[in-house]
This record gives sequence, structure tokens and C-alpha cells, in this order.
Amino acid sequence: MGKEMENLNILFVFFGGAFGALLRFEVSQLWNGKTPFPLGTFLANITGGILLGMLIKFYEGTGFSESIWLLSATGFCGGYTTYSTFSFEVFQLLKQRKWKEALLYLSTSILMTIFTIWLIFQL
Amino acid sequence: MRKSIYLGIGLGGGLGSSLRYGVSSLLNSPGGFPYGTLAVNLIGCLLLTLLYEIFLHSTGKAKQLHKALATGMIGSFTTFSAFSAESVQLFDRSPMLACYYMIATIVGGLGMTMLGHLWGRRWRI
Repeated sequence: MGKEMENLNILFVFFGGAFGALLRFEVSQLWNGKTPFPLGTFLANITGGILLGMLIKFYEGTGFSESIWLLSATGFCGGYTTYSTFSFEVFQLLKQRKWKEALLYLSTSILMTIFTIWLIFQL
Repeated sequence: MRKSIYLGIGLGGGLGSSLRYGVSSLLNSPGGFPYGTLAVNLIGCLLLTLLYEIFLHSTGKAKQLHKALATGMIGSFTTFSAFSAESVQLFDRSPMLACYYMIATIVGGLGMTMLGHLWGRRWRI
């Protein structure tokens, strides 16, 4: 790949990530703080994880261009989902001694996403 | 007010994603252990709680800056989707490595979150 193209790569990641972050912010505004655990982050992480699984599957099958991969997978899915906020929310639940909610939030986020991605890979 | 919050989160999100892309390109090897993703997620967990504690009582412009840095930049710097997909891909090759990866991310992430909580309280603005 040419040097000019490599310099453009970061732009695709930047715009995908910016859009992902804004959408996550909107989803969190809508749904966080209304249930015992943060439903907004939960939804963003699960849907973003599943979307990434689908993109990996499509990318392996069709090999669409790298710029689309960087925009949608690295940029958008990466920016839309978040690990730091997820870990922070688990920590907050643990600090409030809400053991059951913490364990439920942690395990359902990870297991539901991983299981769905695994299913997509089996197709 | 509202417009600048969106601008900050968008810019922060673009910057955080670009930084993650840089670190992952350096440390993740195709088909290897995802050290890059592990690194961004652990560092991001530490930074997010540090920022939370530092800006806890902030208002106005400082609070907006916190949103741009925390929700935008650090939120996008770390990633849940790559963590999940890599765990599945790793599991196909070595279930043991996949377990190491998941435990390192979950336990390490909570450890870094706690560390940020303990350190950040001293630097409150």
C-alpha cells in the first residue's frame, strides 16, 4: 500500500470512531440510569460487538476494501463500544455492594456478546 | 452548550479511536495474542477513573472537558467489541489462551479501575 493511502487510514478510523462515540453518548443518555444496571452501555456493547462479529465474517468472505473495514470495524465498532466505562460501572456496582447486579452485568455483557459472535462465525 | 458537548465527544472519540488504532497496529500481530487491545483497555480503565475522580466536583467548561475526555476519548480508546471478537477467535486456536486473555482483561481492568479511584482522589480540582 502507498504511503498516501496509509496516511488516509487514520482518517477513516477517526471519523468512524467519532460517529461511534456520539452514538454511544446518545444511547447512554437515553437508557443509562433507568434500571439497576447501566442499560445504555450494555446495549451499545452488545450490539457493537455483534456488528463487529458480522463485519469480520463478511470481511473474510468477500474481502471488502480496507478503508471500509477501518471506518466500520476499527473506527465505528471500536468507538461505539467501550471497555473502560463497562469496567467502571462494574466497579461502581461492587462499591455499592450490589454483588448480584455487578455479576449479572459483567457476565451477561460478555457471555451474550461472545456467544452471538461465536454463532455468527459458525454460519 | 449542547453543540460544544457533541463537538467535544466527536473529537475525543475520533482521537481515542485513532490512538487505539496506533497502539493495536504496533502490538497486535495477526493471529497472535491481542496485546494491543489488552494494553488500550487496561490503560483506558486507569485513565477513566482518574478523570472521574479529578473532575468529580467540576462544573461548566471543566465538566464539558471531562465529557470530551472521558466519554469521547477514553470511551473510544477502549473497546468492548474487539475484546469479544478476539476472545472468540483466540478460543478457536487455544481455549487456554482465550481464558488468559479474558481473565487478564476483566481482572486487570477492575484492578486498574480501582487504582485510578485511589490515585485520582488526591488530584481533585
